[in-house]
Amino acid sequence: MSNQAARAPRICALVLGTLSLGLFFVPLVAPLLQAGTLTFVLREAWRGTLDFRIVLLATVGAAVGFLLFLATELIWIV
Amino acid sequence: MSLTVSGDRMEPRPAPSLTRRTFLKTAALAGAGGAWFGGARLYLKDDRWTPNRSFWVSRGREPASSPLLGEHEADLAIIGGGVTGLSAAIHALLRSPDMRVVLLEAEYAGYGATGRSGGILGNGTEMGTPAGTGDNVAHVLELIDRFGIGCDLQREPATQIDPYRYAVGLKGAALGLGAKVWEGSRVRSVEDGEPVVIRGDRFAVRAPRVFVATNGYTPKLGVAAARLFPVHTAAAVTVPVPRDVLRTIPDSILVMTSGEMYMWGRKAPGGRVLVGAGAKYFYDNGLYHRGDAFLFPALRRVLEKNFPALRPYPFEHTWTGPMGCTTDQEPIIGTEGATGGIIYCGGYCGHGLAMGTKAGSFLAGMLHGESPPAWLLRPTLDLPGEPLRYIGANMVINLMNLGLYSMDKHE
Repeated sequence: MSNQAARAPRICALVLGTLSLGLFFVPLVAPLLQAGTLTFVLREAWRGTLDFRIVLLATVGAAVGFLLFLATELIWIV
Repeated sequence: MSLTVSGDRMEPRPAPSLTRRTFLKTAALAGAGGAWFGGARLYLKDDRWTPNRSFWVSRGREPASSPLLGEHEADLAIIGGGVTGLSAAIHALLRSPDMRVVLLEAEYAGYGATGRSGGILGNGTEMGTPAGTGDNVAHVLELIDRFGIGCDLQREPATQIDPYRYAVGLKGAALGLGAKVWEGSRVRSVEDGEPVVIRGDRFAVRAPRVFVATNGYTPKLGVAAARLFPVHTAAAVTVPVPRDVLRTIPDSILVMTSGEMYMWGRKAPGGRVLVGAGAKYFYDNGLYHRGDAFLFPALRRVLEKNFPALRPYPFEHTWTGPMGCTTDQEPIIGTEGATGGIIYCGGYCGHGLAMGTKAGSFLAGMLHGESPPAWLLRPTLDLPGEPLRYIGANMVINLMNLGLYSMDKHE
C-alpha cells in the first residue's frame, strides 16, 4: 500500500474522532458520528490500515464524546 | 485499465468516476443516516400532552364548564384558556359589550403554561422591558382588584399570585362580561377564510376574527409553526419548611446556572419553597414531557447547592410544562393565512403571566384598528422542519446550559 493510501484512513479516523468529541452537544448528530467513528476505526483496524495509536485516539474521542453527550442530555439540564 | 482504438493509436480508457464499490458504500452510509433520523422520528414523535398537574392545581380543581357541541357563530373566537386568551376576551368585551365572544379551551382554564408557572409577576420579557410592557404588573393588579379575583396575591416584597386561581378568576370575569367559555373543547384545525372556521371533534365555530392564544401549543394547530416552538421546563415544590429555615430563603429566588440559564423560585403557600429550571425541546413540537429520572434530581442538586438549609426538605410535588418560545426570546403577534382573520400571539419564553395578560389587551385593541407595539410585530427567524428543528433548538439550549452561548439583552 502506498503512503498516500495509508494516510487517508488515518486522517479520516482523526477527523471523525475530533468531530465526535467536538460536536457532543448536537442531538441526533453526535451519537451518529460517534457510532460511525467506532465502526470506521474498527473496520480499518481489522484491515490493518490504522496503527494502534490512531485507533486509540479516535476511539477515545468517540467514547468521551458519547459520555459528554449523555451528560449534556441528562445531567446538565438546569 | 482497458485500451481503446482511436484512429491508428491505442489510448487508455478513462476510469469510471463512480465505481460500484463507492456507490454501494455511499448508499449504505446514506441509508444508515436516513434510518437513524427516520428511526428518531418514530421514537421521538409523541402526540400526547403532559399529564401531570401543577402544585397550584393539585391544591384543588375548580369546576370546569361543559364542552362545546354543534355548529356555532361568533364575532370573535379565542382558542386557549390561559392568561392571553382570557385577558383578550375580557378586554374585547369591556370595549364592545355586545360582541359575541367564544373561548375554546382544550382542557380547563389555566391548564397550560399559565397554571404551571410559578406565579411570579414581572414587567417585560426575558430580554428586557420593551415599549408598552413597563406597567404589565400594574395591569394584572388592576384586573385582580377590578374583578375581585382571589388568587393569594402577595404584593410585598415580591408580587406573586396563585396563577391557576388567577386564570379561574379571569374566566369568571369573562363569563360575567358575557363571553361563552367552553372547556374540554380541543380544537383540531383552524381553516382560513371569511369567516375563519375552527373545528373540533364535535363542534365547529365560524367567526370573522380568531385569536390563537395557545402559546407553546400553537404549532400543533398548524399556526405560526415556523415562528413558535414549545420548550418544556420543570418545577417543584418542597414539603412545608419550618419558619426559621424559611426566613433564610430569599422571597424571590434567581440562581444563574450558566451565563444564560437559571433556577427561579419563590416561597409558596403553606411555608413551602417552589423552584423551577430546565429547558428541553421535544421532537415535532412535542407536548409530552417524559420526565426522565435525571430531571428532578438535577433540580434538587442545584437547590441544595445554593440553599443547604433546604436539604432535609424533599420535593412534595413536581411538574413540567411547555413554554412558548421564539428564536429571539421575545413574544410575537402575527397573522396567519390570506384573510388576516387568524391572529396569533405567544412566545413569552416563561415570562407570560403579566406579559400574556397585557398581550390580551393588545389583541383586543387590534379589533378596533389599534396596532400593538411595533416590536411585537417584528419578523423573526423561521425555524426549519424536523429533524433540523429538534437538532437546532436543543443544540442552542445545550450550548446555553454549558455557558457557551448567550443572547444579547435589550438593556
